[in-house]
Amino acid sequence: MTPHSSVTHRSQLVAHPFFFAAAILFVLQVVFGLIIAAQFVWPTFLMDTLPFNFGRASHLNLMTFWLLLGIMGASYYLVADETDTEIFSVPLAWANLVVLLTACAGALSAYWFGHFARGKPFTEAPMPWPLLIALGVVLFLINIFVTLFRAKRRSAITFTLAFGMVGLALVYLLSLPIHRNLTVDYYWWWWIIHLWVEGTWEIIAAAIMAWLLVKLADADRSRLAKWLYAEVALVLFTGIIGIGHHYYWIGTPRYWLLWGALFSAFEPVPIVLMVWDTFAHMKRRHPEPVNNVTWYWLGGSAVGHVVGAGVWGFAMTLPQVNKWTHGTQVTASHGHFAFFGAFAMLVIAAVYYVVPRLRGMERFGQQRAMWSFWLMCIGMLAMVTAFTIAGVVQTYLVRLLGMDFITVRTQYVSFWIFWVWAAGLVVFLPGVLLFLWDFLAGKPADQAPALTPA
Amino acid sequence: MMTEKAWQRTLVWGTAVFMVLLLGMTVDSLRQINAGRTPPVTEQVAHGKSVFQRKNCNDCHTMFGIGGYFAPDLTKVADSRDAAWLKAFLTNPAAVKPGTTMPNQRLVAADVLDLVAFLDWVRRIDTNGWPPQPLGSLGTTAGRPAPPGAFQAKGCSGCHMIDGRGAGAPGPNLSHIGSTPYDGLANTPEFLARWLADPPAIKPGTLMPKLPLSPAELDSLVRYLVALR
Ligand code: HEC
Ligand code: HEC
Ligand code: HEM
Ligand code: HEM
Ligand SMILES: [Fe+2]
Repeated sequence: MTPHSSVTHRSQLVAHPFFFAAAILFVLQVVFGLIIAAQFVWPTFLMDTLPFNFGRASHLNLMTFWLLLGIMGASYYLVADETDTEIFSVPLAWANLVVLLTACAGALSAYWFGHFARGKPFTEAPMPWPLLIALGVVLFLINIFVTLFRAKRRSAITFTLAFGMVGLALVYLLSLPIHRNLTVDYYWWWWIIHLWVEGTWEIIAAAIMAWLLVKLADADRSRLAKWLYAEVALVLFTGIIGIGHHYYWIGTPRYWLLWGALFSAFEPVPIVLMVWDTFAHMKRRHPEPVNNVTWYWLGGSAVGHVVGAGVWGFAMTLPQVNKWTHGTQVTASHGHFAFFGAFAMLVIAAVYYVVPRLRGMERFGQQRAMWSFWLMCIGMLAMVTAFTIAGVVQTYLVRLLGMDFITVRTQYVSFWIFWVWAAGLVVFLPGVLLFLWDFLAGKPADQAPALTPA
Repeated sequence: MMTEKAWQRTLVWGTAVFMVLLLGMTVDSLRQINAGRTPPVTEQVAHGKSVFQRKNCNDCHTMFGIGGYFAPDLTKVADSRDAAWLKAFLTNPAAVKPGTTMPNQRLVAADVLDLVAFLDWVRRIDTNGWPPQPLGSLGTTAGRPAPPGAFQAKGCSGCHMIDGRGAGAPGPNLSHIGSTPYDGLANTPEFLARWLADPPAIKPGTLMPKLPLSPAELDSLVRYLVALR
């Protein structure tokens, strides 16, 4: 970190190592995505050293860790900015980071070198690592809450952020026990998966988005506050019972088919409102040279969120459809689109707003960053398209015609996963590497060729 | 117009109301799950489950449709595979299915037995009818030969129609292929076996693909086809 940073509070600098760790884990996540996609095409590739299940666990865990670290980095910066105070404790923030990175390394070593896990996707980390994750999250919460309580300024943004963070932690703690009955085990598992992405993370994302809009577009605070509360309330009022769209087929009572469908069908409504609101604000951006890259990631995230989560999610949320598409690559297409659009793009937008400031600049040179933006977006669109086709073909042949799973995988699905792999390797990965390069070596905008004003 | 504070209260209290509703539904769901929707969990089943989770089978296979989409769903696998088969397969997959892409899980004998008990327990869970019966299920027609499993599993019924079941295109109707040859191609068992093994080698450019068939599957299909008179 340079001594010339233009932060108003020195403790904001602690966001930097969080973002740096996130960027590295992001690259690793994508490498594991490429390995498991390759195993569809060449099934004996690394079959004994890193079998598909442990590659997939690495891919999913790295994703969760880098997004969480990115959200935490953004939160430390944001909370100091919103409250106009220093973060309670910088060493505590470092402890928070180190504890989480240790848990991440511990879990990955168990997969790679021990070939053992805890067994449910996304939360495969075996003991004691989940306890360390919980500890990291609690340290983070303490730091944020003490800062908030000591500060004089409270805002709708910090309230919403804190509300989401508490929910995130509570739901994580509920997932810690393991139940003897697999159905009960999966019942609680969905609380963390669904109530995270369609509940608490969604709230945190809305708060970060609102804050970026205040910073970049001078959004009117009192209007924004009401919008923020209304959107977040709708997310929860639809999403909490909307969890029922995962309780159709796991041994849970039949009434979930009705309740899950009814509530989850309305989940896209707050997402659409959020996008509408974002674009209404974006139209009023500053006339002076702005951080174009942040704008692109922010606008892209709004679009990715509504299409990836709202449209792709809605498409399979009714039991009449879900019955056929459930457990196929159709789900993977939605998982990629939604996670990338709603959360990855938002974290990257925050990185492009915050990191230049930590290094004493208004913004980075735009050219490399724009290449990275378009490569990632086009790469992800191509991958999602290929996953979707793979899923529709698989649904038709396996579920409707009743063909054998492995015949379909080897004869048809692997052809489309080949294109996921190719687009990931040739388009998406270079975008991610450019992002990392920019992160490490970004230069102030005036030292790089200017971009034509958009 | 509502004030900012009023919106905040709506958020907090509304969330509390929906969480209480979810908790109530959770209490009822857990009651029903334990009262018969799932069979009682024995020690052996519980241990089989922990082997299943320790080995992370669920990131290759789906279970209840949740997990990795690399390997077949295991929810109802014990419906179609008996305990002896499962035991042999889990002990050494390649010995049962040469060339399989399931790596040997290096399980000790006791773990294999517990896994088999666990899979048999899962099979008996009431999953509201999931996975669904395929729409293209062939069934049997009285007085007619019964189609072997491979006819559906390998996708033949996705291109061919027999006795009014299956797809009318792009393949010809095979209802009487045993007595009426198709398009000048022989309908002898020897020829049909060669045809199924590699159609494009016999008729370059044909729409019928070369499908992976084991010798046993090939044999059952040929015997079925010649019986279709
Ligand atoms: C690396 C991925 C992978 C892992 C890990 C894995 N499997 Fe498999 N499994 C497969 C594949 C692929 C098949 C399909 C084999 C074939 O048909 O060639 C399969 C087939 C099976 C079958 C037979 C399904 C059928 O009807 O043909 C069972 C049962 C099974 N696996 C159980 C398990 C259990 C239990 C575990 C954990 C101890 C496990 N598998 C771990 C990939 C995996
Ligand atoms: C993708 C579609 C498709 C699939 C799948 C398919 N077929 Fe065919 N089949 C065709 C077409 C098209 C023809 C006509 C060949 C031609 O004239 O090119 C054909 C021809 C045939 C014939 C007539 C050849 C002869 O020698 O009499 C038989 C028998 C046959 N198929 C059986 C099968 C069986 C058994 C399977 C499953 C293992 C199967 N088909 C799978 C499309 C298909
Ligand atoms: C930000 C938002 C979202 C993210 C990150 C997200 C992510 C995911 C992921 C990763 C899965 C797969 C879970 C598994 O492994 O089985 C999933 C499943 C699902 N999602 Fe979403 N989702 C989001 C929003 C939505 C919305 C708004 C809807 C619908 C209204 C929706 C509907 C579904 C459904 C129905 C499934 C189950 C798919 C199946 O049958 O397997 N999602 N989601
Ligand atoms: C080069 C880039 C990538 C490749 C090649 C890739 C490939 C894959 C593959 C093959 C799977 C397993 C699907 C299965 O079980 O059959 C998977 C799962 C998943 N990946 Fe990726 N991935 C990439 C990048 C990403 C990114 C950037 C994200 C999110 C930010 C992401 C999120 C996910 C999620 C959520 C799942 C689980 C889906 C589900 O449960 O339905 N991936 N990925
Ligand atoms: Fe969900």
